[in-house]
Amino acid sequence: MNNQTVHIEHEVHRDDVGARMGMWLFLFTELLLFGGLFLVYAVYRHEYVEQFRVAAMALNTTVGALNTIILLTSSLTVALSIAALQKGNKSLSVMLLLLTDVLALAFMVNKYFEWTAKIHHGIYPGSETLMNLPDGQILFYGLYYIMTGLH
Amino acid sequence: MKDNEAAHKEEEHNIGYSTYLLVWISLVAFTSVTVTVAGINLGDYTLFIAMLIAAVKSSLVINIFMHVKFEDPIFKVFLTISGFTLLVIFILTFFDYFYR
Repeated sequence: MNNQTVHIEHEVHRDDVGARMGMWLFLFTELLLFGGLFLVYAVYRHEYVEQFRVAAMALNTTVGALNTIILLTSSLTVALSIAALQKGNKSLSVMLLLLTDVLALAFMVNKYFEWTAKIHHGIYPGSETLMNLPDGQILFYGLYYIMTGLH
Repeated sequence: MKDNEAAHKEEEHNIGYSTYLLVWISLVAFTSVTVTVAGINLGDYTLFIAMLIAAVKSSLVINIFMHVKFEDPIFKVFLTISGFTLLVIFILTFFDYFYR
């Protein structure tokens, strides 16, 4: 009887390193996915230096910077959440994860306003205003919508 | 191996909330530098500075926030290989683009 209990306990398999490695393998696929998009961006930025500069200047730096800070802060809350868990503070850990979700929502709201402003200016995929712009700017905004949208 | 694991655990415990906060503050500071630099035209240096700051930022995030600094060496090997793969893809594509 006693032997059996021990046996069952051994059946519980736990491999933290393996789990983290799986997470990293997933992240490597993300790296290749976004890496490919950045490669397209880099090549076209080279081909249309001036037009990419003009189009990039038209973007709202404040909204972009705000979203970057939101992303950095949500990275912080996840890191803190893990630290809280390691210290055995479960409720704080859960609270930090909820805060991360709130930040994710804030990011989406911010993106909504950013895109809405662009659409109001007539710049959205396939729009007349966009199609009348030079090729380089059409490419820039196409990549802008695809990359931020996928993200 | 057992000793190694124990050492890892100890190191993990050493990262307190304050370290993460400090890293976060420096990340936000680097972001504001990037935004400021984007506003002024430094010509050829603009891209270089932006990429340099991005490299420092990602190294902070990967090492501290994502704990790679305290992981087994195999994680660093994997990360290096995948980063190198991406670099090779970039170099080959640009070779094709420039000498087409």
